[in-house]
Amino acid sequence: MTPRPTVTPSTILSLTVAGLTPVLVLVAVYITFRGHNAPGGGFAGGLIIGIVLVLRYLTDGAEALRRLPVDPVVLIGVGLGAAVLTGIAPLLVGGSFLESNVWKLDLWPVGQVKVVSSAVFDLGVFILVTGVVAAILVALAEADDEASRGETTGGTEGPTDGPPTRTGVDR
Amino acid sequence: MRTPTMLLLLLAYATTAVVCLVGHRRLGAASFPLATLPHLATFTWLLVVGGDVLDGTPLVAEVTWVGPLELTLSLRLDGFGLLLGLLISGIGALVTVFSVGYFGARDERARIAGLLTLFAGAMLGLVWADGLLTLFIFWELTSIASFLLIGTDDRSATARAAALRALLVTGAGGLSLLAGLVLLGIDSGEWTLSGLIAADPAGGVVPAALVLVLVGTATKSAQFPFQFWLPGAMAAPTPVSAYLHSATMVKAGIVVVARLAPAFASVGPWRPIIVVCGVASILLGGVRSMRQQDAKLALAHGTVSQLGLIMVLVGLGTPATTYAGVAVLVAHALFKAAWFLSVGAVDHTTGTRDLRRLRGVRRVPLLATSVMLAAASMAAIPPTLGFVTKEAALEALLEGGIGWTGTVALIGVAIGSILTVAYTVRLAVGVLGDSTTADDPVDTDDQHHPGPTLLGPPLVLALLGLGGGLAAAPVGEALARIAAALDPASGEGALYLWHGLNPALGLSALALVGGTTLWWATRRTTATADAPRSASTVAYDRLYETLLSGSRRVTGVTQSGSLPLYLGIVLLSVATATGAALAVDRGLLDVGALPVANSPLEVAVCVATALSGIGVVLARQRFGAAIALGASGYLLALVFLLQGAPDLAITQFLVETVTIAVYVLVLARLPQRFSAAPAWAPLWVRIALSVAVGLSVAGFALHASGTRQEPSVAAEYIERSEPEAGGRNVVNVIIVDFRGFDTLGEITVLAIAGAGVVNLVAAARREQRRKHLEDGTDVEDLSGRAPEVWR
Amino acid sequence: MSVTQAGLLAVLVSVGTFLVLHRSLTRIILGIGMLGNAVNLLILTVGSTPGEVPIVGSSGADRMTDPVPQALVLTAIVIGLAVVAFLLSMAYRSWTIDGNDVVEDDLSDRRIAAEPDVTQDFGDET
Repeated sequence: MTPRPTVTPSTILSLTVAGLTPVLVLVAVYITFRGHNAPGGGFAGGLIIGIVLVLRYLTDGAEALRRLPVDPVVLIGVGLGAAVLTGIAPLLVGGSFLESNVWKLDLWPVGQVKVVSSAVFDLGVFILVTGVVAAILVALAEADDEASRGETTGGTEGPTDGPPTRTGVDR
Repeated sequence: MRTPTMLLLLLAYATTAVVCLVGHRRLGAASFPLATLPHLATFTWLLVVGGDVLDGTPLVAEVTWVGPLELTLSLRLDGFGLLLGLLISGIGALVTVFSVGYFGARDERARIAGLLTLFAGAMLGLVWADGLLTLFIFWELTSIASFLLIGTDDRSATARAAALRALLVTGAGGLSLLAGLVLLGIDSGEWTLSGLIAADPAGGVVPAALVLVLVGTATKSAQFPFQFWLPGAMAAPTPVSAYLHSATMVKAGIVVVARLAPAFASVGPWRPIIVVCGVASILLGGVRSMRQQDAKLALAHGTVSQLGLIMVLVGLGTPATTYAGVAVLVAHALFKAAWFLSVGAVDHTTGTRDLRRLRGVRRVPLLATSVMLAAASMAAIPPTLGFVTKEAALEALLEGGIGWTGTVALIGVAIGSILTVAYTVRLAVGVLGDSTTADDPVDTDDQHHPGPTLLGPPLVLALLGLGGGLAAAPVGEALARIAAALDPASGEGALYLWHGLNPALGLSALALVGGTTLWWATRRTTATADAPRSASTVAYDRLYETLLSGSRRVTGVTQSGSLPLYLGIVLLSVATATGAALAVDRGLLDVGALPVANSPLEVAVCVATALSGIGVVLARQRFGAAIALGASGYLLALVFLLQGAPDLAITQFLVETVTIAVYVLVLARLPQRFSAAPAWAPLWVRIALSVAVGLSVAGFALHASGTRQEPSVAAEYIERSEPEAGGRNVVNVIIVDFRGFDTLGEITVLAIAGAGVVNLVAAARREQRRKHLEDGTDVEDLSGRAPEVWR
Repeated sequence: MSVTQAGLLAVLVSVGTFLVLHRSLTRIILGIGMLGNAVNLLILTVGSTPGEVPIVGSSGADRMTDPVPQALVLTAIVIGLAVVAFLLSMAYRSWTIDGNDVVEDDLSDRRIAAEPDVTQDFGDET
């Protein structure tokens, strides 16, 4: 039987992951934006956030996922909305749907910065993928949490009569 | 000349029908009076424009829907259409008036009124249709209306079966007609009846197309061997039978034949089919009519016989027979509708249609008059319209000049006339005479006297039959102008009440004498005859049952219900098709031209990936399997990396990590033990099938990788990536810029899948809670009891 | 595409097919995941030959591998994740509703297969 992740959270691990979370989020955002010129992009960035959530779940249990600052479904909507708006915006200035634009800005003291409209699209992808992965994890984790609460408080009626066997009679 | 009036009238019918059908609860007694309105409007309009139309200026109306596909609603009102329109709306109005009395306060009256109106509109569309596809649409609409009307008594299994039989036969015939019309349309390039007749196509496909058309017309007009549905259709209420199954709908096939015959009658199979089927119907219908005890069924078989006569006349397609056909059509519509309505009135008054039990009908003078006049016209006794038109028919056939088919037709019609007289006399005597044989006779005196709405309409029709005969000359002239619309040469035709002693008159006299004799000779045997099921009915029923049970058996064998088996069959087909192609054409698979491996490292990584893939199958535990799948996924990321795809490698790596987490979350609460389900096939079969699929896919991939003929679009993307999209990672630029629209679609899929997961899990949890509630366990208080799911 | 890659493809597809042909929902889902991987491999290897990373500046245009199949596969990988998650939650729901992890036979199909021939009543009118 696989160890159930919520049973024995390690305090040290928990603190480490909690401390790393902001760093990892920054990494994800960085991966997203550097995607235009190097391996990375919105899909990869969103998945990194997903892995952060998996880590938080492993250390702090479902509580960590339930206390997310934003509802994942809202993230899905925002991400999709951003992507669609990037598509529509050029229409307002007479362009075609999803037409991209590149602006070169002089920003002292950074020097010349290149801003690409499709970066907004990629940001939308990032937010959406984050939302989808988070939504999946939250939904499944809550169900898991509910079930495991039943198990841990399960007295003698639960599956405590011997370790459950996984006999692979599956055909 | 263009006019929208026809379309407006059809719209009026449709609106009235919808009003009756939708508002049937509130409409009640108003439904039949309402249903007369479109009939009256149509009849009046046709009388107004009639003169111009007969002078040779057809009215047309067209609504184009999809022009290039010839999907155009196109109507054309010529002389023939005028005549049929008058019959449909005129008899329709009378039938509707009759229905007021017949249906009284019965619940279904509004529904019947609506369906009758719907049918009338469809029928008008049919006879006015010029577009071949328009014709087909209205044709099928009439079939559907007929189906619904026959099945009015939907609690009777017999009525339901009869309705279904009529629908299947006429519907299948409709498809045959459609096939024929489409073939004619393609061959000639003309998609209107008028254009088709003018083009007179002579391609090799035309005979086959005409056979298909004739099959369609034979089903609709109840011609041998499809006549069997018509007697069954008598399950419909009598006004419906009078309207659909004697006066109008069964004329639809005749209408199409009449329009095509002048152009196509001389084409190979046309006349033999028409004459053989028509004469068979004449004789069969006549003989069978003699053996019925139900007056309505006797009339129905008589209709088959009469329709055979009209079919032969219009189908032979000479100017004289076409003229006679049109004339007989009118006479038949009048006397047969009168007959049916009279029988309906008798039925309504006495409660029976059994010829053996009826008494006292002759004491209702108006009803008796109708019956006698209708019988006289049906038996072709002078001076009725039935007589003068039958004379015209015999004369046209005696003219000859069309070879053996004409001779067979003449003999058939002569014998048919004798039979007609015999069954008419038997019917008239049965209805009007006082029964002496039955133990339980039914007398009219016991019942209510029929009201004016029941007596009026049949009397009007019967009197028209008499008046038409007396005014033979002007009627004949009008009919000639009408028939000229079909064939200009038919415009010469005329009707005579008396035109000297000639062979036709001789044949008529022979029919009267012979028929009466025949009736007298057989009156005792036919009084007790029990009509057997016709061979066609038996054959149809067998065919229908065989089809049903056959399809059930095929479904049972091929659809055993095992989903893995279905999937296996699909996959086997894929593997077989690909494998066979690769095996037959060795040139498809040129392995020698491809490298064995791109690098030694690739071999190592691929072997490792494959091994962990096989591990998924070998794992005895589900978690083991999930982890083996994850391992093969991670290794696959390396394969991607070696291919030169770091973006893919990163994504694959991250996805695999999240996937394992998701597996762990869900598998943790799936069953502890698998329920042992029987395998659908032995292990070796499943392994062999899987390997075959794998090899065929790999073979296909090897073949496909060597088939590029055009350069990839990549070169352009790479070139434009930095200057236009401002990015150096071409893969990312393609995703968010060049092919951004695709990505928008893909992230939408992601959003939907995410929302789906959230809802599925939420629903599953609700379900769980409900179960707990049913078990008496409180949702909020989970202490003490483990959830169901953990047992 | 090299023969080695084709061999790997054959193994992955065979394993995926074998898993999908099971009656256990879990194995079917594993099989779908496996087939997804296999198809991604197919598209990538059939559509491109190994080369340098398609990033302008870091490698020459003529030595680059084709980026188009990569772009196609990248989104497919993420969608594959969503599909597997969706299927797993369906399996979970199915389990909570009827406690079953087995793909049952289609009941209506079975009923048709088991049904005796129906004889129609046509009445007795002629």
